[in-house]
Amino acid sequence: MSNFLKSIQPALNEIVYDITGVTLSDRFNPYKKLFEDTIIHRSNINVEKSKVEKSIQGLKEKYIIHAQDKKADLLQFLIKRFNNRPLLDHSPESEFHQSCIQFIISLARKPLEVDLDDFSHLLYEQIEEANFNWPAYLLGNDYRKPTGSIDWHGDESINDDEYDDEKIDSTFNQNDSIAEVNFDSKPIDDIEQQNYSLLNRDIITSYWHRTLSDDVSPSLNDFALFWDQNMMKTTHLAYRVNSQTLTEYILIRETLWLLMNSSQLHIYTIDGNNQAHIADFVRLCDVTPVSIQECLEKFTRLSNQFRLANEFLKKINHSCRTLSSFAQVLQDQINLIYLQLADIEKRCLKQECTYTILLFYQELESLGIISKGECIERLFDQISFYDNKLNCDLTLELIHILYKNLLMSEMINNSIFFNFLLPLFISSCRIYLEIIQNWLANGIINDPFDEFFIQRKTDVPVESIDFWQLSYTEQVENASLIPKWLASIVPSLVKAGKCAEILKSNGVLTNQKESQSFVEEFSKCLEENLSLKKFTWNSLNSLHNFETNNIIKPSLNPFISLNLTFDDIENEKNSFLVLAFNQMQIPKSSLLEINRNQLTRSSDINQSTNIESILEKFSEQILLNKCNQLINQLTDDILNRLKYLTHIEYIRNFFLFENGSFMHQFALRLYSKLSHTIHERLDAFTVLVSFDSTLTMFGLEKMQYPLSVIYQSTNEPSTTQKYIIQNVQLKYDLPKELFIIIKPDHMDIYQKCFAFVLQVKQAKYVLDQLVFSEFRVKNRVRNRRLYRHQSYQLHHEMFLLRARLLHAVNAVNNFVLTTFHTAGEQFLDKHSNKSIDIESMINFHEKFLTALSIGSLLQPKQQAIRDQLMKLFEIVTIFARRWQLGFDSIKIEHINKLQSEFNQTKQFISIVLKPFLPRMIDSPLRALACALQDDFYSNV
Amino acid sequence: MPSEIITLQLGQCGNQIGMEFWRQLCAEHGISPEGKLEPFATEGSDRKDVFFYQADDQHYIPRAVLLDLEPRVIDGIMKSPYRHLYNPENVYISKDGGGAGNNWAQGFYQGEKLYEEIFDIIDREADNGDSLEGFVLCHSIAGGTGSGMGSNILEKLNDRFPKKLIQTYSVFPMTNEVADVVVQPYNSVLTLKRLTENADCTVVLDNTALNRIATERLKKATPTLAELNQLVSTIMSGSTSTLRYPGYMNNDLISLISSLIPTPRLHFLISAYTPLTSDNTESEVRKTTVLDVMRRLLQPKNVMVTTAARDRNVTHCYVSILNIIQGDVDPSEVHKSLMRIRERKLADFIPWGPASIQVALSKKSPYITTQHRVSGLMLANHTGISSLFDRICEHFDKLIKREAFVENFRRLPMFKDNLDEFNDSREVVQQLMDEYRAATTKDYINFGSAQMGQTEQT
Repeated sequence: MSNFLKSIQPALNEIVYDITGVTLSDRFNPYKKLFEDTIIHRSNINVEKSKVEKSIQGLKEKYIIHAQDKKADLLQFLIKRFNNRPLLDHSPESEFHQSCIQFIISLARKPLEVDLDDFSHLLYEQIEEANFNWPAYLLGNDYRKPTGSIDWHGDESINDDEYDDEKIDSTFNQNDSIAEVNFDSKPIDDIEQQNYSLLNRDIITSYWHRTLSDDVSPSLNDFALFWDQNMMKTTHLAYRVNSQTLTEYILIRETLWLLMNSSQLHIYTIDGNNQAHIADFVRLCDVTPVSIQECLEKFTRLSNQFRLANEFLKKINHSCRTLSSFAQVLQDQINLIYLQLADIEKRCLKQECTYTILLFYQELESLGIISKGECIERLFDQISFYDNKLNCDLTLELIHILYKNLLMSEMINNSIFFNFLLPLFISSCRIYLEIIQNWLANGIINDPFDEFFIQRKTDVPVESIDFWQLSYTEQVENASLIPKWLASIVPSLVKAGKCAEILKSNGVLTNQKESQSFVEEFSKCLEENLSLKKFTWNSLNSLHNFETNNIIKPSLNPFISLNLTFDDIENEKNSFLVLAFNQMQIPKSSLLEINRNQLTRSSDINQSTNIESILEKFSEQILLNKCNQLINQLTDDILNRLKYLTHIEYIRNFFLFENGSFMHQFALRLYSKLSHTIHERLDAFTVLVSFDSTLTMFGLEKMQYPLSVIYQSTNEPSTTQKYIIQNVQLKYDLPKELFIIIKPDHMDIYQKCFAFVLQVKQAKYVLDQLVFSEFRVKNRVRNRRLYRHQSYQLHHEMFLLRARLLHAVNAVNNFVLTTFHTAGEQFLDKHSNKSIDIESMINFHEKFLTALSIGSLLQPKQQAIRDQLMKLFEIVTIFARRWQLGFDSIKIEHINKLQSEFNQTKQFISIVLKPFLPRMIDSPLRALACALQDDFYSNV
Repeated sequence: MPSEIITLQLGQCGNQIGMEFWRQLCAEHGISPEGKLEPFATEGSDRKDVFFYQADDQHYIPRAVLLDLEPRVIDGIMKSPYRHLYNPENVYISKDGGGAGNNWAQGFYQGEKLYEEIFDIIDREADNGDSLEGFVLCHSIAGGTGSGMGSNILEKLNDRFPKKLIQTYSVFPMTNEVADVVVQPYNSVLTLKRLTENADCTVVLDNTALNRIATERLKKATPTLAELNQLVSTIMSGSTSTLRYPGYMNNDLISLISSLIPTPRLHFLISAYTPLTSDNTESEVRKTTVLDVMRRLLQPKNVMVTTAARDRNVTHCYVSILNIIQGDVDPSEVHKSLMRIRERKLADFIPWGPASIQVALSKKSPYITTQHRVSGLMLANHTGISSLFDRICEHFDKLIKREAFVENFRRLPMFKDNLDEFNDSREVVQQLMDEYRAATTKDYINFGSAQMGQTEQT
């Protein structure tokens, strides 16, 4: 007898005794059998109320009259339960059900007077059905006579009945055409017919043998099951449609086995024509009692849900670390479920508890297993793991979906979901956090599987000028997948990562041993805030430890191979059940209790601190903090160790020489040299001598001075500009570490600004030098006569032209220097702000450069103005040269020519700048446009 | 390594305003009266070496030459706390000590006589710097020493340092009341000729206007000489602030004045300063902005020269303006202010050339706390200055008509034979006034030829 029957035997006896008042004895054995079956199959039995109601009522009253209230209640209860399991009206079983209940009632009335003949045909029917060789039928041609059933039937009468003959005939007819059995369903398609013949029949036969020889009820014969160990552990479960003999007990057992082995469950139905069909649940619904059908559906689903997880766990081997980490915890969770199932099994075996399908289902539900299955299904529905996706996308999707589901479960306050998902989520985030931590600590993204959503571009070395812009990219298709709490700090994170790399290359990355690990902080943060007690984790951890101790340490091997400990069913030592039992001998509180604790704890989840805010808090307090620390470290390094601002000031002083500093003196020397030797052009020697003498003047060591000057002589002499200083270049030794901000091409801009300032100042200088010494030097007599002299008109023209040139050059000079000055002041001003970081430094510097290039008219649109200004400067230098050569040699034509050229140039500049005049926005160019207007203050 | 400037203080007035100037400079640079750097003067961004040099003992010594024909004022300085400031070698008092007796000719003659000794000092001082930019001369044009000897030195400087700038701060006498020196018009005209011909730039400080400003602005019923001198020193220190505090523009004297002066003779500048405060009065101005300061600077009541807006049917106008704005100023504010000045038509400009208001931004001394955020100094070339010359000439003409008080002049070599120098000087001044008047019209473009035509006719 099966364990289950054994376990329910006392209960059965009790019920029968309670109802009938008869102690079950060997004499009563046949009825007992029938009883057992009816009770076991109660859900298959429908009671037609109208027919039996009266009898029941009468019986009940009779009991009450005889003061047998307890019996009346029990009967009531029994009837009620039958009533609650309605069967479809057209079902042929209804007659049997009714008869059955009538039999019970009769028994109850007059137990010893009941004529069993009325019910004999029911028994026969059962026996006939039991004769059907299910295994043979399912296994195909290999027909074997189930000895066990013969033995069993041998004990009892096997009476062929007319009613039954037909059925048997049809069954055997079907057996003849067994080869034609059409498994037209998908799962069967996968399994080739050939493979069927290769099935390990021993297992099946032994299974059948075992069960049948176990002296179980004939209902087992109606229930066929085989189990393919070689092939993906697919379980094919077939049962006869309309069969009343479907054993719940077997279903439960098989379901347990199925669930534990996480194999695929296929349920077939065998219809009246003995055709096997894939039992879709709609059809199942037609033919089975709703409750069982529902349970079956759920068990099947659960099995398939576990299968999803198990298939994933099997295939995960060559994927990335995050998935492995996820898989590991998923495995833990699955293990927990298995242990719970094993617990049920154990109790069944020990007969501590009797389950019906419903009870079993309720038990599964109370353990949260059903929910967990659903949860798994949701996850695997939403993530497609095998789409040849990039690891990073996959990982991100995984985290995203876990997070999404976590949020949702929190929202609907589903603690089972939540508690199931949370460890999965944490473990999935683990690798990211580790990568981040490593990145920030060492400046390297250690990501061999490309799972991190930020990728280091290897072709952009840290020395590269584009490092800041190009070095790291977010390699995600859909950036919205990045969880919100992480996404909010991604900019800071990337920044900090770059900072770390720069600091590392600068050799100042203080690689302090991390006292805090992000992962630990992360889980700690969640634990504390969600008031999850440690033991919840411990239970998992113990499993985890158990696993890691016995199998492979995942941390050592990124390719975690996750073997299922109970895969190997043949190895008894390693069988799941052994494992489960062993495991369960130890804990004082059973897993069930743990789980129930977990459930009660769900109400403790503090809704005021939801997970979103907790995570945000974590990312802000821990991650962002660390990021800022690094960013500040780099800022500090740049500002204090590399003395960025000092360099900027140097560059500003050298290239823009705003104030009367070194460069100012150097320029003055060049200018005065040029004005002394007005016939000669500038040469390298003059430049060097001027530079050296300026150095000497300031008492500076040439070798130690960061600045050097180069004169680049061009072979092609410029025809338009003869006297304007050109080709003087500065070289400033900038520490390489600062290239991150001041790039070499930025130095070119500085260089161009320098050249321009040199020219502007030259123009201003030569004009300023045109004092009226001519009119002072000469003796007083001559001076007095000068104004009467004919040439005074010419002189006067010169004076006025000088004034006009001065006005124009002053305007340009003001424009250039004011722009530079303002830009510089703003630049330095911004840097006095404490919240500055490398990125803003780069930005500010670029803004500074833009302002400079506007100031030196380097923008493409300004080229025309610049060209004209060069022309203006040339006019200025020619004019100054004529002035210096002496007024006597000047002819009026020269002046007229210069004048007309000047007018032309100025007109051109005015036209180009005209659009700036009416603008309301103050810009340096507008100021220039205004300043260049002769009649600016009178022409309103 | 700046462009050094040597200050020459001549006569009673010159030494007094010079004294005030140095006092102001010392305060601004954190230099003690003894020439030591004050302990608080740690801000090293100023350029002290334009006006000072450091002695062997690191004391700061002004590049100043103190000259007088009588010892009274210089003695006063030498008894003041600042007595150790100056290089004693640079202090020169004529040995006879008789002074010039308010006689230009005497002063001029003395200058001629003492030429060697004076230029010993000046040469030494000039060679002391690496790149001498020029001289600043402080004097009055009414007395004897400042005007006479000043004229002489101007001429000599011109010959000796032809390429160096010569700027003068010339105090013009009161013209609206009876002069305490009767020959003041003579002295003035004779000096004006030298200022016209030998100086590059003359900042005119009109005693009349200074008095008016002291009364009106500083609310002094009878302003003392010291208070007037303080006004002058404010102007002087303000106009040199861009040289002393490096800015991004106008770091040399020449760049300051070059745009102000279009032609050789038109180099007489008027000045204005706002807001004015004195030690014991509270300023009326509560809030200062760039526009506010610029606007005030253009108001005649703040100008330190009393000029007429119109005279002889001539509408006077600005030739050029330089505003030196001190304080914490955003350059964009400057542009906005200029736009406002344009909109309000606050300044009339010459019709023949480009109108320019140059604005130089300068830092303030970190060691002097002022009540105001922004203060401003205007140096401007205004044709109205000719009315001042006109008044002087008026007085001069009245005197010379009767050859009054010329005896003292006749005693000296220049006037021994004739009084041609008077006429000559008068003519130069007249030409100067003519040019200023001509500059108010468009025809100034053809000034040379018109002048030529006129002179040919005469």
